[in-house]
Amino acid sequence: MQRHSNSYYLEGLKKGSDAILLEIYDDFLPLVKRFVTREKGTDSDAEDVFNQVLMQLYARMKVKEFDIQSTFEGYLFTACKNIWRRELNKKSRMRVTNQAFHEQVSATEDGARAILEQEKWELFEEKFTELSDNCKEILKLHLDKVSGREIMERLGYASETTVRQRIFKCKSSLVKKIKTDLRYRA
Amino acid sequence: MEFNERIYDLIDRYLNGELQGQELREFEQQIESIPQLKDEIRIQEELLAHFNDEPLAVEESDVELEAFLGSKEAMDMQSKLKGALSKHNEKAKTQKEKSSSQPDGKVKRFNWKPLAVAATVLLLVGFFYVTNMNGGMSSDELFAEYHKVEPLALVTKGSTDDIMAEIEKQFNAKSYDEAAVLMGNVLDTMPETHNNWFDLKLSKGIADMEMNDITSAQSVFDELRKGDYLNAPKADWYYILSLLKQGDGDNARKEIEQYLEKGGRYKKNELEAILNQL
Repeated sequence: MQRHSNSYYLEGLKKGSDAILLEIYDDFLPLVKRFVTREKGTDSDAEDVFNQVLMQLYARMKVKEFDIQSTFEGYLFTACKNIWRRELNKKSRMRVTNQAFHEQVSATEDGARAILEQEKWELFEEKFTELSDNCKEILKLHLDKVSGREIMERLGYASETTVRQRIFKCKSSLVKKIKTDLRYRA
Repeated sequence: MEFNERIYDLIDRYLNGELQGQELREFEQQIESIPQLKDEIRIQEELLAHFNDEPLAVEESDVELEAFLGSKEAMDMQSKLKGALSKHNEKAKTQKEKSSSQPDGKVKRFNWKPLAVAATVLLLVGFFYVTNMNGGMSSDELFAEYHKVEPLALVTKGSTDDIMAEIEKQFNAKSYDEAAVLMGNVLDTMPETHNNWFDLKLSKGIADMEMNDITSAQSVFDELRKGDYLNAPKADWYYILSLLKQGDGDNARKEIEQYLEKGGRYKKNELEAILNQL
């Protein structure tokens, strides 16, 4: 549970205060452990993920003067989720190639990419929340691959054509929002 | 370049692997010859990945970030983090040992007997007092009698699956503090029309109430019971419970009377029983 303000934790991390770093582990690592172990990971995977996320956050604050938009806890949880997904993806690629996975990129390059991925994730989330509630709902169903007919029935649209028109409108507006944001590197 | 509905439809079918034969070949040719179309497809592909909880691949890197991650400053932080982790683990281990080092191997229990005797005496005195006053039970006794937290069961579909499952787990395990934080985060961006919205919001209020944050709980219940929701009466019920928990029998009575007057049926029997005992 988050017992202090965002800035308390962020400043502590930025300054490298040992006491506050310990509090961060005490307060939030258990939640991340529960998540990772439920998602096919071990306690030590969770610790690794947690370290990576704190390192990411530290680098983002130092290099980009980044500030988080949600609660500190919410940020840690979603960032850990993203890193864990990334790790699982690496592992499955390893299985597919059926040989020792040769990491083509250096650790620092991989770390930098992970940060860019997190930034992209945040950008998509942010742009999505800017949409109207109706757009959010219909797009979420559509992107979850729910059929047009089912969307029509669930949301009470008159026809599948109306659903398609609505999806087009919402999706093109979302794409436009993303494309025109300077943070999106095309 | 603006694309029309037909192109969007083609992109969808292309990304879902539904284009075949001639149609697929023609579309692939178009993609190769129109750079804007290629970009558009890339964003849409990323959107799909994003909402299906797949990692967003990034091909390029960032020189500045890389340089920082390889710097001495970053290395120092790395070892600080490792230090904090081992201290945390050490602490967790000691706590675990402490709790299992009791003679019977169990967590040391609080000695409640003397308190129980005192409480019984108080209860008897209180009971005598209350029964003599109005022949009923006190508000908090009524609360304890009628309040039961039902397990939370959310509809899990889509990209918020993990967090929904986590919320359910935490809530049902009575870890209300963790559940409340997660619910707060999800509710920040969830539209009211979402299947889970009402249940999540109501459960957030219940979690607040369980943590004795009655003010927050009441503002949630109040918002829900006044809204145009199918399940609004549920919020009425919890609002009344929260008044009982607060020891505000007078207002609880008023609220129950109003609720029954307007024909509320949810938990009607329970509310009538409470009213009789207030």
